Amino acid sequence: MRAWLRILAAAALIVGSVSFGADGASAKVAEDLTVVIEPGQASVVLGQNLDLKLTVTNTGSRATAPLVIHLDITDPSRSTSVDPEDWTSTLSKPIGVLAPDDTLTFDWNIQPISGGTFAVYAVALSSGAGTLSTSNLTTVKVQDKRSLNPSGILPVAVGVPCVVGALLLLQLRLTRRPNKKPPSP
Amino acid sequence: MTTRMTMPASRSETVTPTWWVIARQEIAELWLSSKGLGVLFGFTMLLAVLSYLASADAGINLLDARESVGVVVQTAIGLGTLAALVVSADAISGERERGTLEALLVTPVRRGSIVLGKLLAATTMWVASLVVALPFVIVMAHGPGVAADAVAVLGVAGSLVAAALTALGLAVSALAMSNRVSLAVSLTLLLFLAAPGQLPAIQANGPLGIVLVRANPVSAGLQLANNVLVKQQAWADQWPFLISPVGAAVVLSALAVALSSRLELGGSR
Repeated sequence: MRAWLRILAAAALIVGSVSFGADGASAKVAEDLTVVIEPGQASVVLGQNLDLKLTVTNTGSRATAPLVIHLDITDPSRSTSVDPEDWTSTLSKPIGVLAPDDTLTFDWNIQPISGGTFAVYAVALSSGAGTLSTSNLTTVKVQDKRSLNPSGILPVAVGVPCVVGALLLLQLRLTRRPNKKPPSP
Repeated sequence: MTTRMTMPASRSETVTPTWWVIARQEIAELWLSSKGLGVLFGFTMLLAVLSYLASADAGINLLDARESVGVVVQTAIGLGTLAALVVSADAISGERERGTLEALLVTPVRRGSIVLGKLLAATTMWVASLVVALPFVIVMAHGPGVAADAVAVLGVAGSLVAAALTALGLAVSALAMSNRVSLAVSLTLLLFLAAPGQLPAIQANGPLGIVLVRANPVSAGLQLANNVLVKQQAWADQWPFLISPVGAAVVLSALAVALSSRLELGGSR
């Protein structure tokens, strides 16, 4: 009986070490990834596009699981959050498996929709992984650009309603019926 | 409407068609009262705000310049036809409710001429909307270089859709016994007709979606505007989107005139 118990305990230990080892391997893969965003700092005028260059490298000795790179944008100086979906049509990009020492480089186009200073970063993650790899932080300064007369529409946008409104007022004044005052005693 | 029918003194004089007499009087009533200008003022205010916002978005590349022109042209068509629909939906049921239809019906004018005159008068609401929309569209379309296309879309697609909806409003007005019912039914029909334009792209591009969009004069006209101004498609490829607006304009105008035989005092109280 004791011999059986020893065998069961040994089997349990083996199974446990295998499963823990698998988790550890996933975490290790994530730790062995480096994600770099360039440029480290950028300055654009509102309305301009900015191409970020992302480089993902597998520095480990094993191939990664299928990876997804996710971009995020935030404004650390404000309490309100930025909606990154307004800046780019694609927030997550699947890049597949990276072999050991393999590097993948690709561009990510963003278009700021408001002025300010923003922090942009990316993370690499795979399904089932317990950790993720985070990139460096890129600071994007967006210079606000507002025109009072975009595309020259202001004179029309003000003028046409003013002309129609003036005609309406004139018409109301002309068609207003005079008040009939009772004859004074 | 005050009825002042001037009949010719002798046969040698030129006889003014009665529908034209009715149309002139209706046009004068629409534009010399505050009704026409009031609706037009609301139209210009909405178009001004939308044009400014669309231009501001296009200025910072949030919206493609062509897309902003498309949005303004489509809105001008939508609001202009709505204005014309509101005026036409009031044309007969309004008179019936105000008790002035009786005076009109006792004049020696054929009922078809009454309806035709009213139809022409209500159409001037669209013409006025078109005229005030032109400066907005021309200025906005100048940048991307689509001014001629934008004006043509507004003139062709917009006018056909407006003609169809004006006739629809008049037909409803002839049948409805109260002004409130006429307006409610007309606006509901407009919403119903505008609905296919709001279909998600995946459904709009399916076989049923394509049929729905093309068979419906409102969505066909708006789709034509989008095709020419935003997608830069050739005018020669747009004829499938003109069939239903032309057909609806002809059929609904004929229906409105045909329904004139059923003009009666009804709910006049």
